[in-house]
Amino acid sequence: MEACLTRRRAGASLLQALLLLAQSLFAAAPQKDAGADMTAAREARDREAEQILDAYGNRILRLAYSYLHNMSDAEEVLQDTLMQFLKAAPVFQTEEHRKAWLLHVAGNLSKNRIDYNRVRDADELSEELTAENREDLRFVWEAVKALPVKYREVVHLFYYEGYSTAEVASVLHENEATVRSRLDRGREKLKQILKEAYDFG
Amino acid sequence: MTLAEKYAQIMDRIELTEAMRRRVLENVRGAAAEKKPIRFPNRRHWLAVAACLALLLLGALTLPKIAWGGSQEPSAETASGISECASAEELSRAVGFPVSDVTALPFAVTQTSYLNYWDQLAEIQYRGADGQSAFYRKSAGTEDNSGDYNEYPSARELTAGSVTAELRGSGERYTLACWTDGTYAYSLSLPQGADAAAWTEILAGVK
Repeated sequence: MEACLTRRRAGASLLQALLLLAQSLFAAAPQKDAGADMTAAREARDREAEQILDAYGNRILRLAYSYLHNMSDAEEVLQDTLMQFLKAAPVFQTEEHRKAWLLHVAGNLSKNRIDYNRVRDADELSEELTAENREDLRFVWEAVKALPVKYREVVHLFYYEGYSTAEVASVLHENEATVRSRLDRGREKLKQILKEAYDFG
Repeated sequence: MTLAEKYAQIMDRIELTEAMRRRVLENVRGAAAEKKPIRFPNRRHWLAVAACLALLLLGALTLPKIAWGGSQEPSAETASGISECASAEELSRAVGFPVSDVTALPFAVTQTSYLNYWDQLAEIQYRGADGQSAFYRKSAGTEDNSGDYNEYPSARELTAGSVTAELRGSGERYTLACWTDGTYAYSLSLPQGADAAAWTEILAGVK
């Protein structure tokens, strides 16, 4: 009788142990945590991407367009810049540093496209200015477009982004003296193209 | 109107439209979702099934002897393209090159995370009790892998043991060290900063 009870008790405790073990293994709490981590990380990444697009999307797009003269290419550069940012997960002390990093990457990606001749032909901006009979603006745009890339990027960052020559040098990872020289040469070339219409004040 | 104003007028016409924004975000999410180098979602589940079957077969006598090693905990993918490993050894296997812990940090480490970025970059994150932290990175090649694009007013070269690193920081306190051995690039970031003497000790302990 006692032996039978012991056997039954042993059987019950074995079943209980098995159930507990199976429960703990199937509970998959760590998996849930890992899943929650992944979801949280994905949401954080999405939020960051949206934040960058809201804060700097237009600036990156415009800089890319100034290099490539095409909206589809500029959009792809914006997308690639965002991907690079999320991949590199860089750390910045200030928002200005973040902006400079994004413009630097967007500039490099744009120049790569020019180097590999992957730029499309259509210049929507030029077409739009022509359609609206804004010859004054189209004249300026064509003149800036005609500048070599190294002058054009300096002109864009200096005049449009409002950067100082030191800041342009920082964005482009160039020497400030080189930037000043390129800015001077860019202005000279614009003078030659625009003649009396030149007034890059 | 100056040419600069005209140029601004031209550039202001280029705008990120809602459709473009949506497209970019979708593509970024899609690209990120495609790059999942390590997947462990079902390993635990199958481990559980196999374990229960084995238990049923082995019966009551063998039950107490079964042990489940904590070291078998699978790595957790923390974000797309980034996976967390359990140890420096596991991280080394994931990235394909040896990665060792930094042993001489200037604070008591309470938490360590081993991260594999895209199977290309290894990062070990150390955290201390009082908010101190350190981020050690190693990757193939010689390019700066710190991901730190801040401009630092101070920079100097420092040799400690077999490492000759460039220290960057402000004044006499340096927050970043970058170096290479010709095959791999290394960086160690100490947000709280340390002076050159402390960095000498830290870098001497890096393998």
